[in-house]
Amino acid sequence: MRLTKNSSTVLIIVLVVGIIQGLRFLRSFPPDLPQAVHQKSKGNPKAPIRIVEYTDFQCPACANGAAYLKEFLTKHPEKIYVQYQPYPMTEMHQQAMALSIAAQCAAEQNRFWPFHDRLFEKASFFKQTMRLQGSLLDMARELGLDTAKFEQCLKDPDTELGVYGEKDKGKALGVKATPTYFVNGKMIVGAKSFQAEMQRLLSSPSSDSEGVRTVPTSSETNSGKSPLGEKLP
Amino acid sequence: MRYIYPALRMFIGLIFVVSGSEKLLQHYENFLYVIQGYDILPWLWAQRLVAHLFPWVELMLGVFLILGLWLKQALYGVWLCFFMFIFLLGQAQVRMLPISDCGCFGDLIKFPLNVTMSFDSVLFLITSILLFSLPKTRVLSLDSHFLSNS
Repeated sequence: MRLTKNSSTVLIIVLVVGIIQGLRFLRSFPPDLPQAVHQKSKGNPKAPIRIVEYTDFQCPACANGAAYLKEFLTKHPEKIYVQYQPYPMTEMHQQAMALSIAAQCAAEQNRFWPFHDRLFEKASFFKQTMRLQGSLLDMARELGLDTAKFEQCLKDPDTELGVYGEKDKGKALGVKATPTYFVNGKMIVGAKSFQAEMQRLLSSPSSDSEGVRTVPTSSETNSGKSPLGEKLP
Repeated sequence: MRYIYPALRMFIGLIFVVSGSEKLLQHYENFLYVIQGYDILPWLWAQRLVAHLFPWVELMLGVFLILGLWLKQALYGVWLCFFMFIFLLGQAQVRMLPISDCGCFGDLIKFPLNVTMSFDSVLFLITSILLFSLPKTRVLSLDSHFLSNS
């Protein structure tokens, strides 16, 4: 049977689509997300919205994502549980690994989240400073950490290996850019998409747990409505 | 000399096949993020549509170029793609958007925007030459096989 040009075209398209879909099927497994580590997680462990955040302390979009997350957690503390995972983009950000290591060392002294927030606040400073280790030690001291322990942790090669290990787990999940979030297992890349997805989830009735009430900020208490349009009790 | 044109055609086709399949075999959200980075399409539905469709278009154009099937149409498609890439990269540089690599090949190869733009410009010229010299480009193609059999 001689194939015509049109039938060859259809055959080639079907073949190519079949190969790609086959490869996609072989690669598609439910994400095997890492276990939450208590020191680097916050929110309600029984929350209906569980977020795994892969982030880089020198990534500007990650700073935006962290700000959105903080806002969501403040307004809906019972609905959200977030765990941090490092993904330093070392190819683009020279200090990213050092900052991720420092955050890990802060976690070991149960001061991860204040340290995390401060790292994002001072991102542009850390980009330019010529005395990185000294600045990190100063910050650790300001936040009440044991600086001797902190410094030892910074120098410990196992700390860096641990961060690389967590980054590799992110790569295995398909993370390629930061910030990347897994919101109830669904991958979201970028702060804007994350904000849109969270607003959608938080305004959906299924995000309500029984007996949960949101905590309004003082400006919302005056208006009677949250910025998401939800009526306050 | 006779095989330079088909060799260039297949080389460009291979670039498109690699680029398209690399995007299709990773989470589409990664390519969606790349599209959002260029800040051209303001609507999320349009960004998602492009993120889903464009890699398939890239892949098919690449396959058709390599095989030399519907060659004129495929070359016009590739020519338009390069025109669009150069426009996107140019506007990203003029607006100083915070994009460090074009996202063209995902994780495979990372080029800064100016390098990619130069590369795309050269390929745009080559594609123009291939279009202009279609009979020579048709050597070792399915199109010429079907033409000779008709």
